[in-house]
Amino acid sequence: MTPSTQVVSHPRDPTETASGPTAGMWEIAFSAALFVCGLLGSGLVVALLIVPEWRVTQQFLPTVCRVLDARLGTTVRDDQTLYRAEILIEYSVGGQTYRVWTYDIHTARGNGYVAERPPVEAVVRQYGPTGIRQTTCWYDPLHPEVAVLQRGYRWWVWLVFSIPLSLLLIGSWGLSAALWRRGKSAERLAVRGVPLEVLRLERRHRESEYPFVPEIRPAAIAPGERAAYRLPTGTASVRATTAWLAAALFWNAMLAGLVATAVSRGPLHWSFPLFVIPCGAVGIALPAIYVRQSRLIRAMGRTAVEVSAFPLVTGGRFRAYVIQTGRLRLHWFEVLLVCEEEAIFQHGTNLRRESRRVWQKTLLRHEKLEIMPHMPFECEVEFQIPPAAMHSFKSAHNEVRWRLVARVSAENYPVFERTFPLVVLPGERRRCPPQPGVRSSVAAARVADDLESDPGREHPDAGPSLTPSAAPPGDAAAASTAENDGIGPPHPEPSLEEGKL
Amino acid sequence: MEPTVLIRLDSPRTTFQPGETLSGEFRLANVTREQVRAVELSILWYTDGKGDQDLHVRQFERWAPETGDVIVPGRPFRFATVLPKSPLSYDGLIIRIRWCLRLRVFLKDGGEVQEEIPFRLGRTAPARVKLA
Amino acid sequence: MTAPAPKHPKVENPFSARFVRPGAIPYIFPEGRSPESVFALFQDQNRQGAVVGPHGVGKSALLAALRQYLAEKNEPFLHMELHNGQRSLSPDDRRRMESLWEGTVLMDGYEQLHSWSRYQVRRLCKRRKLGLLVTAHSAVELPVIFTPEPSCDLAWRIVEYLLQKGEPLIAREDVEACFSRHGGNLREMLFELYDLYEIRLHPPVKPRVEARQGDAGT
Repeated sequence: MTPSTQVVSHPRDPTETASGPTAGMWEIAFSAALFVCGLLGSGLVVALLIVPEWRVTQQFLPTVCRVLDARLGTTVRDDQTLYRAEILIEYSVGGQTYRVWTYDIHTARGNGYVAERPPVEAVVRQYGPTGIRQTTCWYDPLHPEVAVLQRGYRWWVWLVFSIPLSLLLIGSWGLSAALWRRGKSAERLAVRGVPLEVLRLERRHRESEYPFVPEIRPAAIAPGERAAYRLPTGTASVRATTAWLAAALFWNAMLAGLVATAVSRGPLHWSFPLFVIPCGAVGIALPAIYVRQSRLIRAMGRTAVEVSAFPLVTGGRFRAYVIQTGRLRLHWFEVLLVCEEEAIFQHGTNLRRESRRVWQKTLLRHEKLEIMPHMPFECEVEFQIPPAAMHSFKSAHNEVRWRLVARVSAENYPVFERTFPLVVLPGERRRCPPQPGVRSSVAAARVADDLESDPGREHPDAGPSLTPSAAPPGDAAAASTAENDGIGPPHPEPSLEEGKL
Repeated sequence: MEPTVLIRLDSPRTTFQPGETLSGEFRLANVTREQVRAVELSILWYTDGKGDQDLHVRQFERWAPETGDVIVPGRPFRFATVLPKSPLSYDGLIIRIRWCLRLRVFLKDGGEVQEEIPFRLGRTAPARVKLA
Repeated sequence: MTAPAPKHPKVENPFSARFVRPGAIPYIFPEGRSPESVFALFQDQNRQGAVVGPHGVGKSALLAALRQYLAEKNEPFLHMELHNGQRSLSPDDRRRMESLWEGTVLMDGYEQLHSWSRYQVRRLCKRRKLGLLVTAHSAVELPVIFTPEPSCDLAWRIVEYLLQKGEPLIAREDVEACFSRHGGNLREMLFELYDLYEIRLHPPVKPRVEARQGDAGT
């Protein structure tokens, strides 16, 4: 048997890409352009909009002023008439009297126009002949001739700020990525031929007591309450829900801003509703999805699994403690111990990933029970990792993984499952009782000691993986001894010959 | 005659346990010292199956006259390595893990002789499809 | 064309990834075609061309065959295999192309480059008078010089070649059914045959019948 070799430590195919000493000039230029535009835009927004409002709120000083007059200021831009309130006030600072037309900081700076007339007229009436005659104004201590009657932040300023800010972020990310590649190239090329991911993998595995057995970060394994360790969950439903919320907020904020801007500019074009209606439908659907997902997650509650030891070891016996919270009326609830293989085949642009479940065992199954918010379901179960099973294994393209899978079928909800990754180490070869069995501490538990196919999944004739292959003739004694030991009979051992061509 | 490589393991077994020492010797035959450019011995595992092949060399030794090694055909070269705790040999449904000892002799005329001895590490049971 | 007998002893499963990846199986050209004729067509198209076809029909395998042909003829060439998601040439790839002053650039996965990169590649090849032969899943800016069209017969010949490495456990009917199931995608067909070969090599076992254990207290 001569496997074709693609020795990882040899120089790899030169067509594989690798960072060089210089990043693509176009990539740098594009990222730099975005960065500069974002920087300039952000600077302008900050300088012209955000800082003035901030100074008014934080640095302007109050004083009493007399309202002398009020009028409606107008201007024409892009064939559209815009309005602002202009209030004539008189106040004294440091013995000097000032008279200025003002309202808010934008008016004081020469702008502050809006498209809608009625709210502006309302302000003018408020300070008109029959309105306020004396009030508080705030003046700039650095420039006392600048004063305002209104303070605060306008919400649309932040919306405007998000545009150059996003350009700035995208540009800086692109630039830093290009510069990072530039800096790293010499080091990466120094270990010629080894992809960085494999290098990391190999370096870690050289130092590990169990090479190529995957590790779960110690920080991910928390101490348990009923058993020694609480397993991290492998599912990401909370992240997905948060993503829906973020999408809903972002979408509706952008849509609201767009509509507000369009409305403030005056009469709408007839085609505007044709655009807004479908966008609005999306804006309604996104929060609805989020609410549904949240409801689902709240109802589905939390599944926690604690185990008596971590990592596990083949042939070892362990206890698992399962807790399911939520508000559910269950058809059934089961916990399975599964072993799966995953193989990745990659050629050029084609990436093919295949998983196969090679072994599974139902550790517990409960039917027709109800979980209430303050009455979680709890259950303890013992299990054994088969002595002759394959341990956890992970290399660049191939993996053998073990997991505990909690599956729930509840009224009004689709079947869902939560996975809890395990790490199984190779055990010492030792004698094990022939019938490991599974005991449940819950009397109502029905433990299925068979290896059934998973309904609804494509399992190619799922079956037990641990049935040893038939022992060769003459090896019957060895086979039976091995089975009693709990280990499959050895593979046929050819007689050793001196190797020759 | 074609150059040959003769490999002999100290143990008659082909299944070893983690932590055991895999040792033995090899000799070159039907070749002269002048013909040999280098000899490489590797103890490695590799995967096979539906995924791309992964390979890891546990131990690698090279003998070459240019580095001062004396390669005398017929003289036994010893080797020994302590086998790791993982990965164990495995026969899965879509993944296999195989261990072997591989010897390559590079000749000065550009030719190459290769010999391999597979062995098993550990005693995992194979995965097999079951009838429903 | 008769595939040469493999030089290696029996393998555990001849449909393993390493035996079926592009370049591992000698390319079987259709009747009347050969590496010479395909390359001649390429030369006629001003040494610019594309091999076009859907997934798994053998585009990369054809490129591997042409690579071997060029190597045997001592013709300089540069083989580039673009990875999934690679939208532009890396500085290394660009440098290697720029250091080539004659010969042919064989590029696998050309279409996933964005337009600007593809233009740069074509321009560089034109400037240096390099040939450019690419693979793509659909038509690109280069003339199509070959479209692999696998057939049941071709599929069976490939399987026959592979079975020389192993046991004769796959019949022609199996190949025809598999080929038809995968709509001509040879790669997927070969991966399915891996499973079939495994099942036949190690026939499924019957489940052990054991007395069901009672509840607690066993």
